[in-house]
Amino acid sequence: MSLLEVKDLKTYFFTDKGVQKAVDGVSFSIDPGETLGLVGESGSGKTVTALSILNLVDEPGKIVGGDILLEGKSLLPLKASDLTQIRGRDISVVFQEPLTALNPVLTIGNQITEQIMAHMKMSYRDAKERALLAMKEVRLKDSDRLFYDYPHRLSGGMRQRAMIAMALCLRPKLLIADEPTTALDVTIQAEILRLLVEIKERHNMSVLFITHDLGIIANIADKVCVMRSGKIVESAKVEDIFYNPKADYTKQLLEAVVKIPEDMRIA
Amino acid sequence: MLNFIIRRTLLIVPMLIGISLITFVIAHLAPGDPTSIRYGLNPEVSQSARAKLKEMYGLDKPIIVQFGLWLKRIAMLDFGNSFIDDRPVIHKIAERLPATLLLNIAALFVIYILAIPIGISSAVKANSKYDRVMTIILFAGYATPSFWFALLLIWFFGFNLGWFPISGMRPWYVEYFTFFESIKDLLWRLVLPVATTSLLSLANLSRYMRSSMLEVLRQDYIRTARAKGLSEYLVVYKHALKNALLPIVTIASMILPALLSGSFIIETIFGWPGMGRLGYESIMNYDYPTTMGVVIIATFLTLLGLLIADITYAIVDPRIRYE
Repeated sequence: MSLLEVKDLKTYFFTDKGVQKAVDGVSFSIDPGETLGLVGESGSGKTVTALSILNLVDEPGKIVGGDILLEGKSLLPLKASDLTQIRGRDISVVFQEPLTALNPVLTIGNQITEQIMAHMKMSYRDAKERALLAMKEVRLKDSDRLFYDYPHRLSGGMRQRAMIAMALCLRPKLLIADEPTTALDVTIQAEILRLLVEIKERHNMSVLFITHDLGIIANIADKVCVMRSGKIVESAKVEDIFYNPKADYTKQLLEAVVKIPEDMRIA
Repeated sequence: MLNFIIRRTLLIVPMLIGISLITFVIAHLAPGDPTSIRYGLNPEVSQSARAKLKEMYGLDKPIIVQFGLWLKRIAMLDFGNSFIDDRPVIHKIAERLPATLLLNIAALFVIYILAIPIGISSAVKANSKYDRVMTIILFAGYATPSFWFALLLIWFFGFNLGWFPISGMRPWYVEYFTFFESIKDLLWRLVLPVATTSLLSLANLSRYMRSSMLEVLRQDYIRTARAKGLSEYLVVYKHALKNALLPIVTIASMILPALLSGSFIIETIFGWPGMGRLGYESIMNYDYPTTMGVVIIATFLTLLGLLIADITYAIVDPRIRYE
């Protein structure tokens, strides 16, 4: 049985100017330990798809159709209180902008421990221990000091590491990574990607990796879904996407990639 | 930080001088002078007697010279004597200041206690029926002139219902009360003046709180907090509120001057023996030393309030450090 199954998902935005079909009949599934890459241009509905899985779409957006199953159980009919149990514990998210995704007036330590304490019956002392461990796992140097630091004192890469520590501290079954490296510079991108792959392998997690960067997909994904205008235009194994693309749009995307000589590639 | 506090405290001095110069000039430019109010309409007082009086008060010199002399005395913390009863201005103000502080601090307290929850609840339920009704009430409150509102309160609660006393702070019979009774009486008498004083700023601040909260609820870190599986309570009261309160701290610096200047009217209407009424009376009587004294003290309190707001801001927002 697949870990996550998205069936014919439809998320529409009801604006004054009319209905915007951000996600219009998207289906895919992720097996345990598998990495699914969701690729597409800006505005193709990748992020809305990810947010729909956790029912985090803001007004005026609404999930109007389809189903989302986690280990065979539908997430859509869940009450808000049951949903909070799944968010952050079974399914975690790393967002695109580490600059704005962390709360500026709470310390890093506070933001990690609160997540642990929201899901586990644990004393603050134990939660802190666990948070420090998570910070070490993502290789945040000097974690004892960083624990009491505010986000604005950290670099972009360090903040993204803190976000990853937060997302992974409870060993989720599924990690949704929504363009986790887009806002970072290239050398840091490579480090963060390597870190994600390493942690994923170690804990046999499933990952839904959202990006517009085909280079990253080639490196880490098992399966790929190509999205455009709220629909999936092609979905296949990663080798097939690169060597044997079917849809015209996928071919166009591949042609648009800047070619880098083999010996200069990362990872 | 210490450096910043010292610098800001020193900055108060030129601001005080500038504000007092403007007030001094305006007060003296107003038609009439102290001699006209007491002797101007009395045919038995000769012009030479008035001239002598003017000379005694130093009013025959050019305004700028008068201001210089006044400034020289102020520099030695001598506020001069009142033209009306010749008592030292500083004593007159010292008598009145506690009543004004009591009224305004009570009002500030009421404003924050009410405005923050109103703002939060309106933002969380934005565009709901509750939010709409609240918006109408607050705008009505914002648009209501406070002197008119004061008269309405006096007429309805003081006169028709007889629930609250309509005037005064400490009646003559208060000395027969026990300590507890006298406090109760004071609180009772505070209700109407505080309600009037709070109205405008309450409307103002809760709208600020609402928009600040709405702004924060749209931020990425709120989505992160939800994605982490925190309860809605934690999302609103821990993650959002702490950020939304930051601008509200500095708005206190806008409320304080409004409250103090409002005191001039409200204290007069409610017969409140505060500095505002003293200022009002001194203006009506061309009592320049008292007017200037009241202005200086009120300005100083306002600037002090601004300084405290800035310091508080640095304490609550970890991103701000004054160097």
